[in-house]
Amino acid sequence: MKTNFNDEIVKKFAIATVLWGIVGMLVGVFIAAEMAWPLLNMDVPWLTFSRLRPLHTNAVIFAFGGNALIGTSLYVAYRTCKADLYMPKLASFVFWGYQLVILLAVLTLPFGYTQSREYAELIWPIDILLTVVWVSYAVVFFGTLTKRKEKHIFVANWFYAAFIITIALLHIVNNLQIPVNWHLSYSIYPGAVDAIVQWWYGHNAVGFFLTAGFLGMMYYFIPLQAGRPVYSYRLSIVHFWALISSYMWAGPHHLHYTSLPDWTQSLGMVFSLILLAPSWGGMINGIMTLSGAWHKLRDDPIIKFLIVSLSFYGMSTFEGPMMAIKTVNALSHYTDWTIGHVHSGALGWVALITIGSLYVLIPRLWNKKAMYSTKLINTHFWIATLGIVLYIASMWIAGVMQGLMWRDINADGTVVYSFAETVKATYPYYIARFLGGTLFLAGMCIMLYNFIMTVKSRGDAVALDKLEGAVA
Amino acid sequence: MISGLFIIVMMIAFFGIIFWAYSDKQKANFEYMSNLPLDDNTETGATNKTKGDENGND
Repeated sequence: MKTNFNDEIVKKFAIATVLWGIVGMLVGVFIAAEMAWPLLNMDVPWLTFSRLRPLHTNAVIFAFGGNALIGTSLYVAYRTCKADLYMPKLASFVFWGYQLVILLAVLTLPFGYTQSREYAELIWPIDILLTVVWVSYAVVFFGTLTKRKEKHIFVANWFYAAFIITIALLHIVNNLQIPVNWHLSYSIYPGAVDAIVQWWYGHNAVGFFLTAGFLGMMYYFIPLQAGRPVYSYRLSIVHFWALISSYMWAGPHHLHYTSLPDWTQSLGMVFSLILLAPSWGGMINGIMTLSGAWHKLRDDPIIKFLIVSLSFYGMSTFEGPMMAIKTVNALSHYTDWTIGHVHSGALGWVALITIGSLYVLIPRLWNKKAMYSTKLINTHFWIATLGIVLYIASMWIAGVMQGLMWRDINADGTVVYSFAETVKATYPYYIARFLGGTLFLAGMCIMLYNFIMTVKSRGDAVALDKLEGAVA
Repeated sequence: MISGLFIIVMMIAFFGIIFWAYSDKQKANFEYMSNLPLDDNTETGATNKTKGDENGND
């Protein structure tokens, strides 16, 4: 078996993706259980929801999603450029440095060391380490692009490039802080400016971390697995420029009905609505790649992961603009509808396309003919999809119910329901959400088993023919 | 004034990109580019030039 550095480094990222995914989702399932059964925090401060929630979001977004993005971006770059990775030692540093950042997050967040900025909770020394790692990553990625043997840069690399540059920009601007001691620091921005900088960061993390990077994955792994070219290459170029030029302005929709100036809120709303066009253009381009090969959607569970992820992408990019409309937001804001929306994107889009791409990638990296068990991929697909549907349906119902109860006013102007009454009404949905999350986590454990067995299997076609018969 | 002009410039640039992307001149190149992910039967990177289909990886 041939080994080379390019594959070796991507292997590490693939392993880290699955392991951190399980850790992050386990924490998520635990805090979901705490919402249903609050006694589970056992009066231990670092087991409380408030301490573990940032650990969950950081682990699933930056550890699971981040490792998947860095690993696949390097793979796509050296494959489509037909060149070796630029500065291999620096690439190793990117891997280990990034894992160190994640480890430090695990060691600080549960103990209350935080900047208290959503999705940017890490304290300032870790922020500086992450900046160094990220700049090194950019050097490796762009260095590889400059070494390319192809004349042009394949479109997936453009999306990954936008992701790398924008995350560097967001991370640095949002974390400009004045340190007071080794863990405490204060933002340099005052009042409402601080709030909009934070949500300029927060929403563009959604746009460029959780969207652009994964669209890069879409433009490479769907054609590869489907055995079909990109449906429309010209649309992919218009898709790219339209998406990156409209995302930057959508952030204010996180601050509707706050002290943010009204015109800024309306600007955020309008740009959120405009975003529907490039989002759906890209989704259609991805799904139509299967044009002429639709039977693969029935036969190949990996294609199911990849295409259903796009369906969830389409759903959440329709729901997002709708929730950004001020009058809709008046109902949805601060309710569990937001949590449902986020997970429709995070589990449905981000996690499913990552899982699908990993199933394409793993046999190629370890030089196997296919995954150990196609049947288990199919099981994983259905258990994950069922989990997502249970999760988002329960949070939709809970959210709309909470919104309606909170705005219900008696004739004399007093509220009909106390806040505690709305919490009580939400309990059954918290239990349903916990079950949905548990199913999704179970799917990840199946994936880990399949992953291990694939790596351990000898040579090529281990029991493949037998298994293929069982799946069809 | 400046911001108004900036919007016009950006719009012209964006429509220019669409015009460029949909011009016939790019057709052959895009056809080639859209098939790039499928070009999977060469071993990773430039240093391994010989690699047939002997392992049936793809």
